[in-house]
Order: sequence, then structure tokens, then C-alpha cells
Amino acid sequence: MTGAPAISASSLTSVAHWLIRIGLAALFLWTGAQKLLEPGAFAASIANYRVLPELLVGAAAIGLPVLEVVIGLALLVPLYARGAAVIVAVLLAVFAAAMAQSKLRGIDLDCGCFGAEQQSQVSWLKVTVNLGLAMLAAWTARARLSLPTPKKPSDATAAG
Amino acid sequence: MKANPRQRAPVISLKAQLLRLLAVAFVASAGLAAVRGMPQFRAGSGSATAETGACVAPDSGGFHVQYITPGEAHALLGQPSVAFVDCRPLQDFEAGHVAGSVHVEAEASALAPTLLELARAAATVVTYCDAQSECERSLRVATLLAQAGAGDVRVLEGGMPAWLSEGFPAQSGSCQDCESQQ
Repeated sequence: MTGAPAISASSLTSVAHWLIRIGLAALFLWTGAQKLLEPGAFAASIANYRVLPELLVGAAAIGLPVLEVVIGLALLVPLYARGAAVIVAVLLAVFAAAMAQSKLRGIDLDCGCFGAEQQSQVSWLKVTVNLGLAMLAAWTARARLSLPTPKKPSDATAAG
Repeated sequence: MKANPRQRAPVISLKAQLLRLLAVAFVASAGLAAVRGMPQFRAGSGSATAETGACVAPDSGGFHVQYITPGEAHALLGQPSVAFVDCRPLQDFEAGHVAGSVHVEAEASALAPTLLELARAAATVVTYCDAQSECERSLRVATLLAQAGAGDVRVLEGGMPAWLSEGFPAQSGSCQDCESQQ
């Protein structure tokens, strides 16, 4: 019997990994670019968190968005996608921790997540979303990437 | 010889991937910093300590606004040259506010002239709101006051909740000066 090629569970997982990586890549490329457009405003946002010494704020305001763009691109390159996913997971966890400490200290501020153009308050929802995305990134980092290859109908018959 | 369709692409170790990505980001950042220079922003100065350190309001256009701890603000309470400005909703103000505060609607597009006059006359202005939700309002009002010429404008760290949790006094009732301030 012939039919549409069957896709195995592992292939579906692979597709899910790819979708997550593409989503994270789009997010990081967008946010990184926005921050690079207004480095002064992003530096002010970082300073508002009051976790970095003043000397490091300027360097972070350049380094973080550049890193976001680099890993955003790397997420789309299978050879470097795992490493990029690990960095994404760590970055998102650090962002969540920075936001959580500001909430706990009673410092309510713009999170600086999307650059100066789109202001949004630090909130526990944002902390949760960041942690959720960090977990997704960590999950994809565990997988070795290969493009899903549909099984031939004969394979599916044999397997069934 | 038949090729294996599931043959893996070349693999780089995770450690090597991390090192290369970080190295690329570092070199690109250094290059960008060399070309564009380090970003300029107004940093803390004056008597601000690490804990009450300076902060730039996100919508301040780089204007410098400092924080003040509830303890430091309490030490200023009652001094005629110090003005407290409550930026919370009116019902919250009426439920309890720092004694002697004036209330201001932070959503207003511009501050009332009488409030600006009061702020300019004061040596220190302390703005506060409810830090548990949208305390951006006190930063915004502080920025507007500072830009309008008020001297030493501070934002109360932790807002009204921090003030109350320190056990400092609050006063309930309507704002006597509010009609003239709005």
C-alpha cells in the first residue's frame, strides 16, 4: 500500500527543536537589533537594574546586543545551534534573575528587553516567560540537529 | 558504495561552539565599540551610595534621577524644604500617604504650574508610588520635575510599600493641595 510518507516521533521532535530555534533566533535577532539602534538608552536600562558596576554598563550595552545577534544567527546554523541554544538558555536565566531581583528590591522599571522604542515594565510574568524560554532553549540544546527525513512508505510498513 | 541517508553532518564539540561564538561576539563588540564609541548615558553622582545609587528613568532621555531609601527619606520628613509627591491613584493616596505629600496624576501629560513652583522652591523633592505595580510613574514625574528645574529630585526606593514596611508613619485622607496642583 502506498501513501503519504510517515514521520517518526523522533522526526517530530526534530521539527519541534527547529521551530523553537527559529523562534528564538527571530526573537534574539529582533531584540539585539533594537538595542544596537539605541545603545545609550539600553545602557540606561541596564544601569536601572543596579546590578553592574558603572564601568561595565557601557560594555554590557554593546556586548549583550551583539551577543544576541550572533547567537540569533548561530541558532539557524546546525553546526553551532547547540552552543547558541546553551548561551540563549543562560542569557534568559540571567535576565530572569536580574528582573526578579529588581522586583524583590522594589525597583520597578522598564525591562529594556526590546530596546528603547518599546518600553515594558518588569513583571513576574516576564520573569516566568524568560524562565520558560530558557527551559525550551535548554531542551533544544540537548538535541543533536538533523533535518527530519520522512520515512519511505516501505519503511513505515516494515516498522508497523 | 551506497551513501548512508542518515549520515550526520560534521560535528563541533559543544565547548568549541561556545568558545567560537563568544569569541565572535567579543571581537564584534570590540570592533563596534571602536567604531561607534562606548554608549553615553548619565551615570550616578553626588551623595548617592551603591544602594541608593543613581538611576536614569527609561523615558527620561538620559536625564539623571536618583533614588533615596525609605530611611533616608524618613530623615527628611517634616523639613519645610522637602516635598513629597505621591504619584499613585487618588484612592490609594486617600487610603494612606506620607504625611504632607501632595498628590499628582502621573498620567497627566504635563504637571500643573503650582506643583512645578512647589518643586522648584523645595531643596529636595521625593516622588513615590506603589512599587508593586507600575512604579514607572514616580520615575516619570521625577524626570518631569527635574527637567522643569527642580533641584534635587529623588525617587523613593520601593515606593509606599517599602515606606510602610519600615514602619514609617502614613496619613489618610484627601489631598488638601490637590485641587490647585492638578
